[in-house]
Amino acid sequence: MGKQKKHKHAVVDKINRALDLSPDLLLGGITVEVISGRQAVVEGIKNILEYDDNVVRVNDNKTEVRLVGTGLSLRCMTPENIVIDGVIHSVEYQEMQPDRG
Amino acid sequence: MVTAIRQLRGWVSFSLEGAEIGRVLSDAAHSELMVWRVAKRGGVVQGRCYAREYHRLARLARKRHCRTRVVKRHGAPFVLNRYRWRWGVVAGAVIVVAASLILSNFVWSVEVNGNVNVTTKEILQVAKENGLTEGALKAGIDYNDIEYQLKKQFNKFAWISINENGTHITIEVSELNPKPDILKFTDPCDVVAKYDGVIQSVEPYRGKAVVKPNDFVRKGSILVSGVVEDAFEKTHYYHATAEVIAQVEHTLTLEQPFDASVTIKTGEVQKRNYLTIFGLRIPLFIGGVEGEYDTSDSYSWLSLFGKELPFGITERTFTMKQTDHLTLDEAGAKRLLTEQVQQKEAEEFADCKILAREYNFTTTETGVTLSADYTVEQDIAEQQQIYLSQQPEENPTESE
Repeated sequence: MGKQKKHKHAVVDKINRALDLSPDLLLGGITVEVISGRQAVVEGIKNILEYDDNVVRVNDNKTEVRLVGTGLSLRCMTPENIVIDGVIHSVEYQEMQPDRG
Repeated sequence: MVTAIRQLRGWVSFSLEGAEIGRVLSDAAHSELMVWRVAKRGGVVQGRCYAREYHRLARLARKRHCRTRVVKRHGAPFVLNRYRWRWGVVAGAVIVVAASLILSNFVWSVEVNGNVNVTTKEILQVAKENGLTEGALKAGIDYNDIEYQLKKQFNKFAWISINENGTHITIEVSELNPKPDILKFTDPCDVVAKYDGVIQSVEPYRGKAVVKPNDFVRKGSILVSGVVEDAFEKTHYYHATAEVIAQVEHTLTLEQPFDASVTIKTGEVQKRNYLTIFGLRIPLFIGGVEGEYDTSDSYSWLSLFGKELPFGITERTFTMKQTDHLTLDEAGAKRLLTEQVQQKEAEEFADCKILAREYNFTTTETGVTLSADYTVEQDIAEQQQIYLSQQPEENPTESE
């Protein structure tokens, strides 16, 4: 991440902590809500990268989220949100590397 | 609700194969295609989408080098398409709706409530004569006029109301309580003679007797007076009552021609059924009933949720009878007359004591006439109200 971006992140973080705000308000990004390990509501996505009954990968501009489980199915989809049913074992967040090329 | 909308619009189950399934789904989401229930079944990714949107989804899949295939079709459009050549179903539905709309403008049944002494049949007959009957067009019925006609015809109703409830008409009536035929106990009255006769005994309960045994009295003459003057010449008015037995003469006259027609029931009964629709009777038999008969009808109406419909079966019962033409001789005519007069005597003099009877037969060319003279003992007391210009004093008890 560039120096300017890193600095911007640090400032936003400080503001968040100071005002005790929810991170997604200022930072945006993907929000995942897992309900009883059986359903996940994923908001703020841009693309579905991969779908399989064991793994679902989604991303937005900055982050890639990987949901791992068994019997995963996409209950419904909109351009920015999906609802995933199935047994969810883990949720992984990974910041995407910018393309320097 | 969502399920119902999907069924109405029609949806398909599809299978999706290829390397970039996620991309296809992503493209579909961005293109605002409604895709739901995406899951891997039997190694193949399957999902659902609206039938009209499937082609767009297939195009997106082709762009990503994926293959789609329709697995199953669901919903109303596919069902209707399957039966598109069965125009009879549509025609039948249209006919039923049209028939319901048209038939709802007619009267299906008429009911009468609240009548006690006036029969339902009589009320319905008057209503029918004024246009209210099964099968009549509702718009052409003047309920106010029918209410007026019913009141005028019977003169026994306190109020009448005709209520329309869809195709069912109810005639609600309330009958007047009839004025009793007796005088009030406080009304002054005399006891007068019902017939001419010779007094046998007088027993006045209230009032002053003005006749005594063996007096001959004419019809209408006072037997016991309700007007009594006391020792102080003051007039008192009583509600006179009495029992007055008198000897009265009565005559019964009967005629019997020699050529007589006697109609008797043969004992044979025939029944025929009719299909009744809105008052129209359609015979359910071939051939009529020959001969003389009396008829009576009984009705069986179809009912729905407790309401009678104007469709049903009318059973007409024909009681056969036969008319025999007899030529009587004098003795036969006299015998018949004697039977008839004895019957009539038992009815007319049921509460009398018959002291004497005399039958006199007169024979003419065409028949025989019987004149039966009776001397009977009976109570001839009858109350007759005294009309006064002022309210009389009320006088309590005993007769003088």
